[in-house]
Amino acid sequence: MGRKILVIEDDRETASYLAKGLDQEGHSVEQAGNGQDGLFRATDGSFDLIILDRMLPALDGLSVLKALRAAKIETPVLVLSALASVGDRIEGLESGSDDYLVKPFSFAELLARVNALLRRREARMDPAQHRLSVADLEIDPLSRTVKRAGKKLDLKPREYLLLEYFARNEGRVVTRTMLLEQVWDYHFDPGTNVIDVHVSRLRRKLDEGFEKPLLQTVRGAGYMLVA
Amino acid sequence: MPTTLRIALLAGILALLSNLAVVGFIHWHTNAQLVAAIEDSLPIAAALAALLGLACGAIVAKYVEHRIRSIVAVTSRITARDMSQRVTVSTAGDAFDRLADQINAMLDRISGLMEELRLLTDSLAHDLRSPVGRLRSAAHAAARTEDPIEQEELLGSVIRQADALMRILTAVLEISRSQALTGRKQFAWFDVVDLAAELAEMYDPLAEERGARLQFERPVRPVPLYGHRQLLAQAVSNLIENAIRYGAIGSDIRIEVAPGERLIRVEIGDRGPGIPADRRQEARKRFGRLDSSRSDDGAGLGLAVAEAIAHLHDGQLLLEDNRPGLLAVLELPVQSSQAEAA
Repeated sequence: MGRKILVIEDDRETASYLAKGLDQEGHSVEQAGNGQDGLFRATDGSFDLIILDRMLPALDGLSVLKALRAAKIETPVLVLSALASVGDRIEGLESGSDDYLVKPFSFAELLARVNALLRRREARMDPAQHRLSVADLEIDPLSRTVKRAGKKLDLKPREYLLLEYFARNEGRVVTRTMLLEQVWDYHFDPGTNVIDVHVSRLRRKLDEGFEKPLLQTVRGAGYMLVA
Repeated sequence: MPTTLRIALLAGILALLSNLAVVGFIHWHTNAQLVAAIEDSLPIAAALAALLGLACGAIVAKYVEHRIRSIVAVTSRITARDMSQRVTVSTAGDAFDRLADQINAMLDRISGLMEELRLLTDSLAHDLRSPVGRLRSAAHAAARTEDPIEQEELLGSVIRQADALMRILTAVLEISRSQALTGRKQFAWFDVVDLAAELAEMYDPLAEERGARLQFERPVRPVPLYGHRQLLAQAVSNLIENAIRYGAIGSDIRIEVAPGERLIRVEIGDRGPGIPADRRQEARKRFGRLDSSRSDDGAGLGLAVAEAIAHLHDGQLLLEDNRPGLLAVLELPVQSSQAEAA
C-alpha cells in the first residue's frame, strides 16, 4: 500500500534518486529543497514519513526536526547525513529522529528502514500486539517464550530479542546495521561478520528440523522473516 | 630566586644602607639633634633612593627586554618549514623561563601534530590506493564481461570495496573527532562491567566460529565510569576483534575489567604471536598494520581508533606482553579531568 512520504533534501541527485525509488515501491513522494520549505510542508501533518537531510540550506535538518517536535508533529523522521561518526549518529538520534542513516547508503538499506518505520507507525496505531505469530511460530513478548509448531524453542536472551525484532518486521528486509542498532543499541560499524554469526545461530534453532525455513537471507541487503 | 626579584631586593637593601649612611655621617648627641639629622638627611636619602630606583628600574627593564627579545627572535625564526627552533630556558626559573617552557611545549605539540598530519596524509594517499585500485579493476571487469552471473559477482565486489573504503574514512573521522574532544558533551555515567559483559556475549559466537574461546569473568560489583558508552563500546570491540583476528586458533581470549580507585583497566588478552616491544608504537599508529601484505578489511585502524577514544577519556591504550600473546589495555580514569570541570 502506498504511503505519503516527504523528502527534504537539497542535493537534487539524491532527492530524485530517492523519489524515483520510493515511487517505484508505490509511495507518493513530495520534495522540498530546503529546511524552511520542508518544515512548512511537514507541519500539515499529513505525511506518513519524513526523510530529512541533516545539512540543509536556510534551516538545518536538526532544527527542522526540533521545530516539528515542538509543534507536536509526531510523523516518523528518518535523518540522512554525511556525518558518520558515532557521536554524530547519537546526536542525530537524540534530537528526536526515529532513525539515522549515514550517506552514502544503498537503496536496499534505505528501503528497509523506511518500511520498518512505516510498519512501526501501523503497529502503534494497532494496540493489543501482545502476541506475535508468523506461520507456525508463536512469540509471547510478556513471558519471552517462543514456540514453533507447538514446541518450545530454547533461546538465549539476545536470540530472543533478535527473533522478536524479525517478527515485528515480518515480510520486510532487515539489514545488519538495523540489527546492530535496534537489537544491540550500538552505533558503530563492526569490522567483522559478528551479526551474521548471531543470525545463523538463531536460524539453526529456529529452522533446523522444519521443512519450511522462516528466516531467509536477502542477498545484498540482509535478512527477512517470512511466513 | 627569579632574577628580577633578586635585583629588586638588592635595590631595597642598597636604599636602606644609603639612608643609614647619610644619617650616620652626621654626629648627634640629643634627640632633637637626631630628629634634625634625620630631617636634614631626608632629601639626600630620597634623592639617593630615587637614583637607585631609577638605576635598578633601568636594569630590570633592560633585562626584561633582553629576555623577551630572545623569545621573539626564536618565534620569528619559526616557519612552517622549520619547526626545530626552541626558546632557550635559563637556570633562573623565573616567569620568563616558565613562558619559554610553555612556548617550547606548544612548539613540540604543534610540530608533533604537523608530523602526524603529514603521516596521515601520506598513509591515506598510500593506503587508499590499493582498495581504490581493486575497486577500479572490479568495475572495469564488470563493464567488460558478457556473463551476467560473473557481472553480478563483480558488481557485488565493487560494492564491498566501496564499503571497505567508507569504513576507512569513517574510522579516520572517528579519530579526528575524538582528538577534537567533540564527544565529551555526550559523556554520562555507566557501568563498564555491563558493557564488557554485553560485548563478550556479542563476540562469543564469532570467537567460537574462528576457533577461539572468549572468557569473561564478571566482577561482582559494578564499575562506574563517566564517559562515552558508545565510543568505548567501539574501542573495546575493536580490541576484541583484533584478538579474534590475530589470536592463536583454539586458544583463549580473556576479557577483564579491573577496577581501581582512580584508574579502571579494561584488558583484552590473546594468545597469538603478540607484538614485539619495539614495534608496539608502530602498531598503534594510524594504518600501522604490521604486516602490510595482509589485505583484510581491518585496515589497521582498529588500534588507532581505540587509542583516540582512550585519549578522549584522558586515558591511554597500553600494549603489553601477555606471555605469550598481546595484552591490550584501555586504562581509563573513572572521570576525566576536563569532563569534571565541564
